[in-house]
Amino acid sequence: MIIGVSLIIYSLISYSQSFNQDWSQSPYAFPILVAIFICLLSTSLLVSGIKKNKDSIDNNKDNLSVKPNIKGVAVILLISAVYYFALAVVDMPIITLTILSLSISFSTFEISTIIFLFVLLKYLKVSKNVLLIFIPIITTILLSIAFRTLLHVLLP
Amino acid sequence: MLEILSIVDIRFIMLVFVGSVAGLFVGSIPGLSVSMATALLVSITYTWNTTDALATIMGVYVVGVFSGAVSAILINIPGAPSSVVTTLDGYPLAHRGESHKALFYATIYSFIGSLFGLIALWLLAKPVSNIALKFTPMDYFLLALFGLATVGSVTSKNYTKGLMSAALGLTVSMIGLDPIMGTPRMTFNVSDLQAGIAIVPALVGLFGFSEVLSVIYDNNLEQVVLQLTKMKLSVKESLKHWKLALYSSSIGTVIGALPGAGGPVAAFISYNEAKRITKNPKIPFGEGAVEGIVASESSNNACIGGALIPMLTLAVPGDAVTAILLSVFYVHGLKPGPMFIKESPEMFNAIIAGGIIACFALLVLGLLVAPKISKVISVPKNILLPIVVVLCVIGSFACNNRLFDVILMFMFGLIGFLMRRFDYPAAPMVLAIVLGGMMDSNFRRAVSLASSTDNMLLSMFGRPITIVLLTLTILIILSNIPMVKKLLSKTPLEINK
Repeated sequence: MIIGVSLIIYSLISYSQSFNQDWSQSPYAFPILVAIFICLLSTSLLVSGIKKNKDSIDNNKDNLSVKPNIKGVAVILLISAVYYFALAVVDMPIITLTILSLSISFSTFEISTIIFLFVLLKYLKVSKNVLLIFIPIITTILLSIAFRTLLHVLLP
Repeated sequence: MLEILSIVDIRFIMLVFVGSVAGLFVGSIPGLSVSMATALLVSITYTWNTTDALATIMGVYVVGVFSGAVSAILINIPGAPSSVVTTLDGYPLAHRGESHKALFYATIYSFIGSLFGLIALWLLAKPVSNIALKFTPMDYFLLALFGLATVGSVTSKNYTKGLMSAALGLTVSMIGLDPIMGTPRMTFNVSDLQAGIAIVPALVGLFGFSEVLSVIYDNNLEQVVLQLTKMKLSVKESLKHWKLALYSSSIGTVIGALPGAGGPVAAFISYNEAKRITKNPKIPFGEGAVEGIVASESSNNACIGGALIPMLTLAVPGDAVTAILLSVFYVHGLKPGPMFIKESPEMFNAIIAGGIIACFALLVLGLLVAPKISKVISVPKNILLPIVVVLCVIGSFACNNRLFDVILMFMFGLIGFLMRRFDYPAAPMVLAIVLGGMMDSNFRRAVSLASSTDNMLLSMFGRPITIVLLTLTILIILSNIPMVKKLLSKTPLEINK
């Protein structure tokens, strides 16, 4: 409902500020139609939600045994955000190693990815130290070779 | 036929095979999806020759749809949404110690279904294109609206939520510069938003990253893999269900051609039909009936050809993967639509050739490699998920080489996760993002053209094709209103009371 009303307000204000006042040509005609549709759908959902309110309280009692891991989701998002900022902000020179005519480049992406994979594997309770060390390194090297060297795809 | 064969050379066959192998692994590992793999391939194949890109993507698509059956049979988790129905009989059959038989049947009938759908595409694409040439802007608008109304009804238990997801997708599609006037809409002075929301980061986020968050949220990191027991199976014995396979393949092709429907819908309808027409199966349905596997696998693979029909002839995708395929065309400067077969016949032939070769690759890989894949799909999720996140980052960045798309991917991942929690389907949103631009520009063109005539309503809605599309759209919407559903399900006696 908030999205629908905000879209209507935004479209009307933008339309009033635009040069072209013909609705058939206006870029805000379609957004207003979609916004009206969203408002109608939201109303329908609100009404059905209110009607089902009592049933949902009863059902919640049955579902108490399933414990959702909200903290896990928040942690994954936080680690991903730190990974993103490392890619965006840290700038290190590219070091290229050539082994058996295959070149492997190490840049911000490779170092950040190795650390990111290590942290995430540790958080997801991968206990074997061999896996904790080798999976991040080998995965990152394979991805770097596959995308950067073989497929010529630019990496972050 | 000769034009199709002229495309095929060793390089083309190798690329289809490489795509097929990738599709086999991607489709069979729960957590990875054909949509995600195809979305990643759009970025990876950006600099490739178009024919090479299409060959690889068709390999991933055809074999990826089939390989969802592998994990459905062995671990009761469908690798692809279209393999949901295969779990109903595939897993129980595997539990009886006949997992090899289940995989064998899934391979043979997926091959038959895919081939059927692609032959239908080859035969029907030109007639459909000829009809599509008569479409006006209002017809295109209504066709896209019909697609969104259909997908909202088939992908969600709650129709209103399906439509809401589509409406939100339309809102997302409007961000950026207006295609007709060039006016920035909802960019809020963010320069990166002027180009709009790219489809690839949205797709990778909604299907890839949201899956990671959902698995973490559900604490669903454990999986049990059934052991494979080899047994002798005769092809003649397995082919005795060919009539059911052809019937299911027809259903799959028709459902696949409906914009927004797709493998899961076709598989459910075919399964129900199989239950209805099969008298006295050896094993009851739901306990390991091979007829269940035959129906579901032949129909979900026939959807491939069916979904490509509206995508190539009308530029309206039949499912999420064809929505991504559409972006491959745009990225390579091609324009799917009624003129596509006339203007780019070699690309049409490349798709058919790639699909047919992928069908044979499916047969080979399904019979020889799939039985050995149980070790690969038993990779623990706590090792797989971090790799999936890194692949999502690479895929979303590679599309436009900008980190802003990675932020978009994370945002759509969070949106997709919240949508799953509150039972909002993601498929209508994806379809709406792809179709939104086309709907907007066609709607305004239709209104502009009509405003210069005497009778605006008649010129917009007075043509036979428009009336048919409008009627179908209204019927789909009305038939999903709860009050109307209740009325239709009551017998005449109950109504009279």
